[in-house]
Amino acid sequence: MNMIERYLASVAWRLPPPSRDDIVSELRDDILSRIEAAEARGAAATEAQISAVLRATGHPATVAARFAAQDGLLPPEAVPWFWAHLRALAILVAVLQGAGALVAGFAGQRPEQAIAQAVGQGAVNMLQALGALLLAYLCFSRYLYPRLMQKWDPAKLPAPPAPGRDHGSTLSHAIGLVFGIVMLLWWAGAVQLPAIPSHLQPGPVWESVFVPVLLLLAMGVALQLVELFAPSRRRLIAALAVGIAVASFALGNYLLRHGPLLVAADDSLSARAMAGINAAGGVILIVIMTASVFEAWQRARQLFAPRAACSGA
Amino acid sequence: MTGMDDTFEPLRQELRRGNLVLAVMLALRSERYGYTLRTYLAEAGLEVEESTLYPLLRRLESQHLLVSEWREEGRRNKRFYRLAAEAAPVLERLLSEWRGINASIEALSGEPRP
Repeated sequence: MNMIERYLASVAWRLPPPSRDDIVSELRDDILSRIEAAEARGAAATEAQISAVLRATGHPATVAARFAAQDGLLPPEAVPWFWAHLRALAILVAVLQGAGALVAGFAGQRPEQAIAQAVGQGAVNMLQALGALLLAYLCFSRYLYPRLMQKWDPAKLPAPPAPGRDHGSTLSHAIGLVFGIVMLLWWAGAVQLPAIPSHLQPGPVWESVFVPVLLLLAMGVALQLVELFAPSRRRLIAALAVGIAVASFALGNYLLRHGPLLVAADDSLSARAMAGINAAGGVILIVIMTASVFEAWQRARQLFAPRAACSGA
Repeated sequence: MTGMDDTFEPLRQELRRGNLVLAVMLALRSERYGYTLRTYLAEAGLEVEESTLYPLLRRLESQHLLVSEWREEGRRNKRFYRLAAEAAPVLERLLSEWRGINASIEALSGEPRP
């Protein structure tokens, strides 16, 4: 895909869907008209010329922002990223609070109490996350973003994402990479983390899956590395993601069949409480396995989708 | 005078932006598409960036001051704009307003009166 189409794709994903195609078509015509006018004056359409035209047009985020509403707390260029990160945080808080409520419920707490606690704590966590995220974005927008906008190079814009997928986030993948490396080192025993409460310990089933989990975590790290440093390798990314999703499903299935996931380390928990805790863990595993199926299906469609035709005119 | 240059440029941009709507409406009394419109304005002394012009064209069209249609020309689809029929009286009033402001500025730029 040539530089112009990568540029237009970078503008396009930041635009609202209803007017996206229209705006991009018009921008494409304007850019090509300027290049043709330069050629008519005798200047050859080299990569350097095209890059200069695109730089004169402006960074894709700036161009897209001009079509957005003005006067927000954050600059328009930052808004899509802010919403994407806020959504991810909301999902994480909801999953963690939901899992906690499930565990508490199965362990004997009254369901309405467990739900009320989860909702209340989740709301507090969400407010804290919103505040922290907003502060981070304000600092980034004010101090780092203006410098980044001066140094961009049209030739280094990434390829657009596959059809039907959201555009990846460098920050998300960086966080995922750090998290993946930490989990890998923890599983391998190189670092200690506060994993589970002292009155619980992993069930014997975990010993038999040490190597598969290690390989799965390593694949996760490899995926984040490719997403960060070779984002144009869409088929490799899709293949890795399919592999991880299939392996996750298989591992979850094995753990469910050969559990328990956790056993009591002392007599502080009743058999009923342990059964409840393992049932909650089973529900969480089933949710992860279901998500793995959907992920594998979506990624497999990407893997086997025909390559999109890219042309300048 | 670097400090004054830094102050002057945003003010200059603001002054030009304030007249851009009128300039675009005048230019689109004849049908043009984005690139030729920018070129026409530039030849008249009003350089405008595409990232400013295209959102402005959309805004004016949403206000029913312009109409547009896509047509194929030179192997590409281009969006042609022109002034809407019902916008002609609005243009006349804006132009009259601008002439009044212009006369006031000219008067103000003479010898200051006590």
